[in-house]
Amino acid sequence: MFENDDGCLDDTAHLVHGGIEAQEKIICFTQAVMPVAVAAALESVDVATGPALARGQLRIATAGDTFLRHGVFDPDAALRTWRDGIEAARQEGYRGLRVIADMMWAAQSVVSAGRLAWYEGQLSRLCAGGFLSAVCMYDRRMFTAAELSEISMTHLASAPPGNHTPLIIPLRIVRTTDPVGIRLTGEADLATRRALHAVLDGLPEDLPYGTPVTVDLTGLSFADGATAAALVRLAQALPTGSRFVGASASLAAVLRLLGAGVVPGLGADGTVLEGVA
Amino acid sequence: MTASVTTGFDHLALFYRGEEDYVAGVGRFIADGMASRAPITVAVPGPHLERLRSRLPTEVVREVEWSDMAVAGRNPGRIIHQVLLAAADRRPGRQAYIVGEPIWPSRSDLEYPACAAHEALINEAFTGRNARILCPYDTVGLSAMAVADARRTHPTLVGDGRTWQSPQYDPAAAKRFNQPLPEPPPEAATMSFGEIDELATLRIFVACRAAAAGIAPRRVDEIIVAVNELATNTLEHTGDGGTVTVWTETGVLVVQVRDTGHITDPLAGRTVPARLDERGRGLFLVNMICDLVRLHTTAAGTTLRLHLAL
Repeated sequence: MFENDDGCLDDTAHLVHGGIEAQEKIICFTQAVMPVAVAAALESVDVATGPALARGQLRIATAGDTFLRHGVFDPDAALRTWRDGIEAARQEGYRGLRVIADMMWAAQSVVSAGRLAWYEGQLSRLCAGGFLSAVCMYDRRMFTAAELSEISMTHLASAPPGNHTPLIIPLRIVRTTDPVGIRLTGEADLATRRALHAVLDGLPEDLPYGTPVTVDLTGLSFADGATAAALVRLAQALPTGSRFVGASASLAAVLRLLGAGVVPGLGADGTVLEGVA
Repeated sequence: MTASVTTGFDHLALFYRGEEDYVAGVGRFIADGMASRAPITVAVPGPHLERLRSRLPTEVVREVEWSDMAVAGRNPGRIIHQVLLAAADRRPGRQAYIVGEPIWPSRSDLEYPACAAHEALINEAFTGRNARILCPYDTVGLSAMAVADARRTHPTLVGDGRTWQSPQYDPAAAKRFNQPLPEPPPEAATMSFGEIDELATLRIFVACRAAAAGIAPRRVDEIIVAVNELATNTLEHTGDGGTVTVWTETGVLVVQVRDTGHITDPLAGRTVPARLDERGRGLFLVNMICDLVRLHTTAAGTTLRLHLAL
């Protein structure tokens, strides 16, 4: 979040610089300021913008020229763009795709709040693949406090203005391939609820069909009741043979309280929750 | 007494004086249950459990599912779910006979209003269900007030081998026990919260205080789950923030959450929500985790006080 145009440029420059260092491809969507102004601002804080632009590692575009071209935000089209972008960046040999988006357009009624929240949740699903990271820049002047609160729940981390990295990411959600599954690290509470629920509810679809899944909770140092409820729901949706491993004693206790009688095969020791078809 | 009632719900207070009267009164109820081939559950505090098991005939003892109410019902807020509904659901379709003794003379003044509220709420929780619940009251050891409350919270009374309708029965008796709580002591630690990103700080605040009070780490983890549920409810449902206050009293850690909300469902948190994402899940977890929960709720605001044994 930022509170003035300098703050926006400052944060953007910082994120772009980090992406170049990390050998990631960076797409920067601007709206409040023109792309040339962004490029100039990046140069002024010693980000080698020119070479990065020249070799295609950095792209700066306006929302109006891309996913808002018709004046309406199409979440499905945007998500398709991100999926294609992930594939392209992978093939080009980058270590990741970093998207930095000025979300000012979201304040211009081009999309309903519900659709925006859905979109942000789906974006979290894409990020759980581990390759894409998305930073959504919200101008605090353009949104009400209630809107900002709703918005932050759809993200895995929220930073107040001027708070540069290291940004503390309270919850990390990463899909894993060996074993096939998902790994949660950090603390899951109301602040990240929408993002987590979008990822968990989408998991049966995002993983190979019919493959038993391992849900690794070893690094989950805190989980609230809503998270436990979402895990029980997930257990009911996953293929037989799926496992929940590494739940802390208190999470295991909460899972038992919410899952007993709802999920057949809830592990007797609480640490393994077998998925049921 | 008659065993002719085999369907529907009844909630009976058994007034007894001394051991003989207790065993005879509970024994008659169990015999009625056996006569109508009902599933029978007896949940009474440990010493009473032993007394009944040693005095009743072996074939009766074998038929009954026994449970120590001082353990299962330590927090009266979980008796409906954990003891009574569990017993009633043992054999669906059959009227269950349940002896539940939630109030005994050594229950503290702190516990008593929550126990009496529980007795009152049984009537609402079991409306339309198929069960007879008998609650023994020690008329010698308990206060006159506790016995008077039992007449208000039970539609049917039993004593001296007789059964009669309670003239004082009040279906809305639970409201009587929704009383303001005494102010926290001046040395209590307080933290206000109003933003969702403050929940993490709030958990650290409570964890530090609980650890300093000597609570074991594993129990601290459970306590912060409970407090986090209440603070989450505050942020989600009130539009305002709240205040968390922590202190210790003799033998207990107390964590209070105060906000501007109003809990209008008297059964909130006493039964497991049918749907996991329903409201009431947070309060249910709080009841399952804590040793005692006291509640005062009005249109002007709600105070929930969690008690955790040291």
